[in-house]
Amino acid sequence: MRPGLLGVREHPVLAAVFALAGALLTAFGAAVLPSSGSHLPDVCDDSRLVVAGGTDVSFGSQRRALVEAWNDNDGGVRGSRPPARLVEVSPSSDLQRAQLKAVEESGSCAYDVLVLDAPWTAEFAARHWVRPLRDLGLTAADTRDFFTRGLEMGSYEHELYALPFNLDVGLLYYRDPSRLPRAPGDWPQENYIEQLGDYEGLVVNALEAVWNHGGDGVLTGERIPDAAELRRAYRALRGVAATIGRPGPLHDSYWSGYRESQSLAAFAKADGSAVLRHWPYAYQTLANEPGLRDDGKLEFGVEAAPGSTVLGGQTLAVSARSRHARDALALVKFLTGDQAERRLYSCGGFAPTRAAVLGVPPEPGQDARVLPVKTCGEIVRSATGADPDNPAGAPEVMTGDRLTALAQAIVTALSRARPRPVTAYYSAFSATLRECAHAVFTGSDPGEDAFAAAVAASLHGKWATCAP
Amino acid sequence: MKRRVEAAIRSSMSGTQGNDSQEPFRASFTWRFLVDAVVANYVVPLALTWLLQRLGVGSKRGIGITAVLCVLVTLAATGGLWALFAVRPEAAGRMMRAVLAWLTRVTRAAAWTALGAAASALVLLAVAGVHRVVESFEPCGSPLELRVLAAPEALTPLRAAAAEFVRDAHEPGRSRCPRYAVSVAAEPDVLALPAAFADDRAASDADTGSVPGPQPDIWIPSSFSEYAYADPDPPGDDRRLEVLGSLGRSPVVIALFTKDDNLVYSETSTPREKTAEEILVRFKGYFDLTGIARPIPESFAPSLLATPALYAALVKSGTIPRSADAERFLSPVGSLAPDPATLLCGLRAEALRGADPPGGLAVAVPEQAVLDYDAGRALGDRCEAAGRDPIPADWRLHPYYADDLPLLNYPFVRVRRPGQDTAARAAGVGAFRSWLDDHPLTSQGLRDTSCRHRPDAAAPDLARAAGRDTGGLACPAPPKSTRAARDDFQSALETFNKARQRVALSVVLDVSGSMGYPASTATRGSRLSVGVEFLRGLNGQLKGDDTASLWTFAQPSRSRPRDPVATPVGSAPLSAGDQRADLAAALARQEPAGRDFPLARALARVDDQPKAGDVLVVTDGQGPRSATDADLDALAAFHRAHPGTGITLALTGPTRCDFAPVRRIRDRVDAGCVRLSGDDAGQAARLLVQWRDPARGGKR
Repeated sequence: MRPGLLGVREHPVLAAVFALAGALLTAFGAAVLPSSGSHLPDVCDDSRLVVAGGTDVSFGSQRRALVEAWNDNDGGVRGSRPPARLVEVSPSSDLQRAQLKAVEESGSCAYDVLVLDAPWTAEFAARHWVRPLRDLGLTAADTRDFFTRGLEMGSYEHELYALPFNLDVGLLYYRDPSRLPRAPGDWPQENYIEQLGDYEGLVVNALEAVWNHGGDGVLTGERIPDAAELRRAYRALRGVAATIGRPGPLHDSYWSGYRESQSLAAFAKADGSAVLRHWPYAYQTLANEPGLRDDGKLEFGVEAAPGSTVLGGQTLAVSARSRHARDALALVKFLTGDQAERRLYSCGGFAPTRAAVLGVPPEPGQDARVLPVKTCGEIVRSATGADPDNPAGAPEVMTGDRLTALAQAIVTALSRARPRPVTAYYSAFSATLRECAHAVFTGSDPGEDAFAAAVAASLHGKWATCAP
Repeated sequence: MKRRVEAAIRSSMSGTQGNDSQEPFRASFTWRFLVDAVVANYVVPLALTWLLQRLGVGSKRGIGITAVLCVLVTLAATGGLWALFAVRPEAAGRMMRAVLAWLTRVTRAAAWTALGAAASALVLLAVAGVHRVVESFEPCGSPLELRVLAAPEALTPLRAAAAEFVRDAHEPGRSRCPRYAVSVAAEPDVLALPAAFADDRAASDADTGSVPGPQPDIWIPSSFSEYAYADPDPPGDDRRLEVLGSLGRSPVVIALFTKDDNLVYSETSTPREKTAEEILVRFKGYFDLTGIARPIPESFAPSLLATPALYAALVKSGTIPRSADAERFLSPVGSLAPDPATLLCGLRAEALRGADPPGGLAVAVPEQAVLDYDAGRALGDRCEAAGRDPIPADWRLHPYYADDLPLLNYPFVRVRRPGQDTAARAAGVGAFRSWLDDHPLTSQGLRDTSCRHRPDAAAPDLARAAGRDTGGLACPAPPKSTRAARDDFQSALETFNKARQRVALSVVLDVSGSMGYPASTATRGSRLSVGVEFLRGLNGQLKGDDTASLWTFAQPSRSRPRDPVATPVGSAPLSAGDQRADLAAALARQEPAGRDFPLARALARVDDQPKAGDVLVVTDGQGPRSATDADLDALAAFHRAHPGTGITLALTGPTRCDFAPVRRIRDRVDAGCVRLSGDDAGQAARLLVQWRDPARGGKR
């Protein structure tokens, strides 16, 4: 550089000013440029509260009915708050999660209330896509009556982000009570029917196998298991793989890729020795099946399984982007209120989240006894004063006795139910465990060390595989 | 003149450079000027435009235009300057002196600014580096969710590619932290695509609405024609769609099972002809072709696009005596399916049951689907990979190619929508697109843009399946404009519409309280939800010239105090206004309430409206304890008054077609009956074929 070419000595102040301008422009560009460019602005419907979730599969479309009740403002339930709209994203829970996640991570205000599956709470809370309900004015009195286990579903790091909408616990359906297992390690057997298709059902059943076959306390809750515990989990799955390998309904459950409907249909057609592991809603479906009724009497029963089953269900959370967060919380409280939960159970087939519905304390022990449960007709009649909308002359299939027996099984199972791993990386864990379970069940054995390493990595969100 | 120019330059440059030695300067002046001008006018803007494009702000087209303009400006400036020196060298010299003095000042200022920017950039890089080191010890971030909607036959290769992309596209500095998550879902039926995109964008006052699957960031239809038909980006729409090239090609083929293929194929001739007619003539020389199974055109765009060529081929080859028989030949009842995956999964299931392949039957599907089927891969959402039971050799399919059958080109369409149009999402879509450029789907069985197979060594099954020499394929370019592509599609649709008889349908839906009970063990949800899902599938397959209406029936109730038989949607052609969308919205609004209303009485009420060709009743079959004789007499009278009207009962379960009161109604009016099984699209397709062609067994 020739002396004086840049003229710094001749014009030092000017040089400093331009240099500073260059520095500031660069810093500004680095901060702003990546997010600049023409982006389509958000358009939100401020006239309604939008509830986004999966397809309403409740019997009698009870969830829709609840939204309509809010909109109709019977008894002034919503007051001056906006009416609501239920948007059914997809019947597939994977696609439902993808949609809710994409909308929230984009920062859109499209949704006010999110219907979340139990394992999604951690992810949505950790990423600040849903709001702590305490910040919106929820008090301890508001949650007093919920089952404690249900509140745990909506909590993350001791903060409540969502109220439980419905509960799910694993139950055993049977025709011959002598086929029921007595101890946790006694099931599943070859005569069992489970949901072992390539979807979340495989994860649920795999976890139950782990917990009941030497892996008690592993892969549940917020605790990250160590390698030795994961090796125990692997050995538990190896044991189940041997049972799957033997001919029978369990073998078919895996190789035919049973999901929820296929497993129900298989039980309906199976002989008396079959035992079905399924959720509470299956009871009403089976009770309506002509082949499982004999002169009004049901040809099957239901019990809580010995040992642990997965605690599932759905919760309602308030989107962090909602522009009507307090109104949204009011809607959430209405949808999970006592009357709503009674209706969702007796009419809709969903296990309730409020203890008062079943007459037990919020933390029922194994010996807790439920009170008689009202039928759908009784609830509708007492709520509306009109005759229930049931077919004339046809007795309700879900009688009070049956609802009560089912409720008893639910409460007993609830006392032993365990949550799936509570992690912001649940989808990575679920995909990895499914892949590894396939490898174990099909005989392409990854080995216990590879299994442990893959599952451990997935709990931290890392890409992992059991494939060689 | 040359000496005058050079003297003027020397004079001007000596004033600014202070350099008396002009000879070497003169020789290098012009070249240096040109080099400086090119660098300043061409390379710098080009680099900036590339950078902006990588950041998602510009486009490749923009770079091209910018480059051409810069070169033209440079050439014009140079030429102009030479001309000025030639004509007015002194004036040119004064101008050059002034310009150069100004440039010197500007250059200094720019240099100071650049030094400051460089120092700032160094600091930022250092901070970023430290941040990255710190980040590497922290847990992984949340992968950005990318939602892809794709043609059904592309699901398998796309899902395989997406899984690899997720594995490869990791967070910077953290090789095992995935940066993206990709979900791939099937697009709606082709005839329902415009309404599906309309649903996606229209606000609704209804209490309940549904989105046709996730709102995609990326849409991959089977062809540009399909994209154009869907009209997804009309003027005034608040979304933006951008076609970013093609992912590969796959021709529609006519495939034979092994036994028939062994008769036809020879090593000395290729399995390719100029026209489908020549293919069929070749077949005719060796065996009797009894039918060609292809996914129904109402659902599957490639089938629709192939229709004109197949119709012509069937007649000209003498396979069928007259064109009126073409559609029947292409719709063998046992093989009706909405998409290739359903069709081929059905074949695979038959194979695994140990049945023999149907003799004389050909299959017309995209080549990609045949490769997936033969290789035992998963077929869309319909069936998982064959696993331990590979397809038996006699069930394998062997493709034959015709130049006049459609060539699918799978455009990659980026979808931007309000509220979700972020830089991160744009970068993610761009990253997936770039990755697909570097890892083309040719490794998954698609052909490249020259229509050649390049099977990846990692996929030996696909390589084997693709190995038959076709002697090259005709590889026409897709239509250049959206209008031309839409015209292609419309033309095929019109050909199809002429051949398929129109249907005039009255849908009668039971919405009584019992429809809120569980349907059956085979289907999830209430009886009403099962019926509504089936009707949604049917709605998607109705053609524009079909007419449809929706009736509902139930006793009045407190929540529904109205006429027991109501008409939420009156009869109109599907192409009229928003008829299809209105039907979909009305179905979504239905809820069960009220006691049962006698089915026979409800059907007789349908007589009040203009005559309908077919009446479809969706019900659980559960009614008052006994339908009165008066009700059945009224129904029989309706049937006598409308002998051309067929009645079909679709039962949601749990009752069956031989249970009362359904059995009594069927006996009285000779009604058809099906039990809904959850295979909504397949059952809807079979019913539509029967209604369009009464000779097939439609009840009239």
